[in-house]
Amino acid sequence: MSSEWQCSDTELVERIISGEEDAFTLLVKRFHRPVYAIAYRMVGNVTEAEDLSQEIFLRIYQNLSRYDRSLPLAPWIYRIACNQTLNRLKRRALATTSLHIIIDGEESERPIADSREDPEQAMITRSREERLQQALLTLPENYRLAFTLKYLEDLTAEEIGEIMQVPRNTIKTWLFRAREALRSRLTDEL
Amino acid sequence: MNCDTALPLLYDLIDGELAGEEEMLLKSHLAGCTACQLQLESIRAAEQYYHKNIIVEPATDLLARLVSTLEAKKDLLPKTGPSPTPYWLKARVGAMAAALATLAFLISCSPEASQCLFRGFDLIAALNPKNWSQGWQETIWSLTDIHLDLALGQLFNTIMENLAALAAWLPSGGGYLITVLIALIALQIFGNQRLLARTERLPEDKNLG
Repeated sequence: MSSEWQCSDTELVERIISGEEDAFTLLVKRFHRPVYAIAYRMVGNVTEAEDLSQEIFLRIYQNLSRYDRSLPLAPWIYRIACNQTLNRLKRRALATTSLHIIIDGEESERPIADSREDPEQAMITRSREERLQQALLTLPENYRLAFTLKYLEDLTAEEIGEIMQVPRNTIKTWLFRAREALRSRLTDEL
Repeated sequence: MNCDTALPLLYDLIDGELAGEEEMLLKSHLAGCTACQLQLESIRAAEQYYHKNIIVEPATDLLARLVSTLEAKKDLLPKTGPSPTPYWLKARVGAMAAALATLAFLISCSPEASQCLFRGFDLIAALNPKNWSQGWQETIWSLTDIHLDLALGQLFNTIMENLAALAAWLPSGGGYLITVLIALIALQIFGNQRLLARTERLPEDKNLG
């Protein structure tokens, strides 16, 4: 493992704040996958998810001096990602006449992530991911976000509640409803 | 326990958040309920499906594009690090310290200014009931005697006496104080304007691509 990955989150933040070059790049490297995944699962659109990821990291950079270094970094980053994502969806809802998110023909824009995978298997994998995505997009935004955080990062209801600034029992209710709704929609897939 | 109450507990069981009596009751229910056993199997299959398919990989060049664009946009933002104390803030603090020193010097050198300052202390001391002047005391006695009209009249007179004393004080010692206060207020306003001019805001909802 290269030395850059051995740097703890706190050390990384210190290095960014002290103005060390490439330190912020390291933070982007460390968190760009989960941030993108949250963005994509919420907006359902590759281009918009990439744009949103950029916005999230800019906001992280802007607010890094306010981060409390006694707390873990990941929840703080996810909180910013969640807030920016929900703000984006609110703006989109105001701008459009329909709240239903339409997935256009963007599936072809997504590359096959693992080139070592058998192409046929890759197509099956992508098909499942997109079925899940379509099902997710039918959920209310808060349910979708709680669900994404749970399965993406294996967070508990309490941890999700801290990120979304919502009581644990509320998160449990949202997760229960989300999982039941998805289970009934994805019966054929299971 | 019935199947409706068991269903949410099945999720708690899978999440490892069920313990104690609730877990015992659920397991006891499951032992005798085929429908709930099937539900549990279905939930487990769904969990596996979610875990397997929730990850979505970004485009292989996304990281490079993010880094490149962020490096360019970062320069537009206020620096995230601790900023050095700006010169105008240092100047403001210095000016306030100089003003207070001037005031202290004037007070110590000028008998007139000293008298005015002590007069100011007298006015403050008047708030202490022990030091209340005759006028205030009579006002209070009148209030306790419930001679309200008399009390109000005396209160008015007492206030006017003190205001007259303050007015006599102002041209001399007050002049010094007011000058200093005006200077401090001007520096505050000047400092805030400079601060607002230097603050950069990230434009919202613009295409960052």
